[in-house]
Amino acid sequence: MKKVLVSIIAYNEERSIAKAITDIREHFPSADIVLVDDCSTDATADVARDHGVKVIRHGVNLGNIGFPAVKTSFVYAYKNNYDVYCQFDGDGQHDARWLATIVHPITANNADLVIGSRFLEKEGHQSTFLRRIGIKLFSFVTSIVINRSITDVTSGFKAYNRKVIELFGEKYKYPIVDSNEILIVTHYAGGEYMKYRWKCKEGNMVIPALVFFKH
Amino acid sequence: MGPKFSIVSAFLAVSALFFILYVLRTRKLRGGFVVSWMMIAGIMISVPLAESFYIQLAGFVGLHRAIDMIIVVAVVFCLIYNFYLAVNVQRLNDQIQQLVSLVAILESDVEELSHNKRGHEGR
Repeated sequence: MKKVLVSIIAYNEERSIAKAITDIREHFPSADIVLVDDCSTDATADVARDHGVKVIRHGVNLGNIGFPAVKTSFVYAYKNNYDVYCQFDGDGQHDARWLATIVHPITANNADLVIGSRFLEKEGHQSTFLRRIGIKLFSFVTSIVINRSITDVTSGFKAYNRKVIELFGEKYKYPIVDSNEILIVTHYAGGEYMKYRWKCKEGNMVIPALVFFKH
Repeated sequence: MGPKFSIVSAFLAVSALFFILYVLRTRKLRGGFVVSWMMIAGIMISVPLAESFYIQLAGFVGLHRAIDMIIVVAVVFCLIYNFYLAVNVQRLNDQIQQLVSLVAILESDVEELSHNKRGHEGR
């Protein structure tokens, strides 16, 4: 049985963190949950502790939209011998129902890294126009570098296997600056990708359709 | 350069050198930073003392006036020093992030161990 870690990355998410934790426990009960708190100024860490979740709290806010917290998660996953690490945002944007789906190719040894892409189909919450332009530009550049089609390089919903955990938790000594870095470094380390479609939650609307394909 | 300028610049250079030595003694600056600032102080002292050398050097590189050459050298030095500082700041930034991560993980482990110990003692 593979040891799975779901790391919730959060900064000032006291309103949504309890629901995120409950969702994960309900839909993926076998996973260990940890909250990586980037020095929130509200009660995010306390709410997580009240729900029995281990909290790793940065002593100072490292910012950069949570990527330092992703690095911390990799280090924690490596040191605690996890086979799979799932990156999950604490803002309520991600749907825990798809956790098992993005973990499955990892446990089946079909991929080293799985991305839950928001933009394979133009449905569901698509983010603001300017942000989509930025995402498309980053995705385009990354696609060229790694010679693979990536539509949502900034998606915070990813799963990684032990190889990638070891790469970023131990071998790669630099801070992670953005999603491109994770994909490009994994690519040059010989990583294999799988990309899934999933739907981003917006408010109470959740679209259950799911299609996947391997690259 | 007139004698007044030579005196003023020599005074400033010697003052800078004494200040750097004070900073070195009080350990506010160490290592490579001290060496680079002492080099700057050395150049500042040499300007009024070796004026003819700088005039010749300016002519050699095609500049009409020695002051132009000093300005060019100062600008190039600032650019190189800026780059050196940027590299160091980036290195320190990376180290800080690494340390913050490790400390956060250690703190959570200690918290967990304390919690387990309290639970064990409570039985």
